[in-house]
Amino acid sequence: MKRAHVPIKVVLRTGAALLALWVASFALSYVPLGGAAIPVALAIALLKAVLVALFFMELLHESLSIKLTIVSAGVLTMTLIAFMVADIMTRAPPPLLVAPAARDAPPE
Amino acid sequence: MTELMPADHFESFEQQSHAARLGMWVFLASEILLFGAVIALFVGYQVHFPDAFREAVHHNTKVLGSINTGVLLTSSTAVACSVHALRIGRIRLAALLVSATMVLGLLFLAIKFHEYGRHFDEGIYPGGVGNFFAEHHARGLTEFWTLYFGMTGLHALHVTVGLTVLGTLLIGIVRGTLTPALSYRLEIGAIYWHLVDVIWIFLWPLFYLA
Repeated sequence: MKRAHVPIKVVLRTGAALLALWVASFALSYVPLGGAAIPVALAIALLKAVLVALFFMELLHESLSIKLTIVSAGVLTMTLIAFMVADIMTRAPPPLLVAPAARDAPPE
Repeated sequence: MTELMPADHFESFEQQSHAARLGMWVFLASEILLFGAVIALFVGYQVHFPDAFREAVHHNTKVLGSINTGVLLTSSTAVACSVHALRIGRIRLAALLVSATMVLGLLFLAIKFHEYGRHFDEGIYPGGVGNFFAEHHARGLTEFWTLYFGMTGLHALHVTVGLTVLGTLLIGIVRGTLTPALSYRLEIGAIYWHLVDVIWIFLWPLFYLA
């Protein structure tokens, strides 16, 4: 079966959307968002990446085998990062801030 | 003139194209794991030293890094259009768009190396080497700048590989060996270029914005 392609109009609209999100990210970096700054910036980045994958890389029209290959890589990588961050954030005190002498001392 | 045929072990160009694309996507999955691991390292240090990382981001060349993001996004749009142009037989337009993509890629590298030069002038080198670190002692600055040079350098290497791939494909288009029937080859090169774009989409907020 012949694979469908993303129409050129959609490609151009995707390009325009990406540039709009680029400007939005840059403008938002001047808004004091506090702790939300990184999650907001990364959420916009994720949206841009999804647009590129679906419409530029034409993942939208790819076979299930290709979709599974790339989606599982993305999900597993995000799981790795989430567990790693959760571990570091919930350790008290954080491992890198413990003095080496105290860290290496044998347990009492 | 001999008829263009798919390789012996494929029944059709469609099947050959799918196999080639699947191979590229598996490679991209491995690239995601590579960059995922270094981004995890970045996030780990960021969680430990949020103040030092914030200070370093504010010190970074935000405008140049942001211009570079626009350059890469535009180049991705251009290469996506070039695939479409080749598919419909607009050979010269396809060659022009691939050339434009390469010019934008070279511009990206030029801006990136200019940024590195500015950091070196300030005494910022990988591994906490340089005058900057003698004057700024906050724990975490060394980690930030080392990761900055390491991760953006790794990305610049990918841009260079992408330029080489696109250059090879451009030669094929100009010589007439890369025809609309074989447009999947350009598609595969374009998919790699888009990955380079996607990686930068995540590096930009981490090193320049947040």
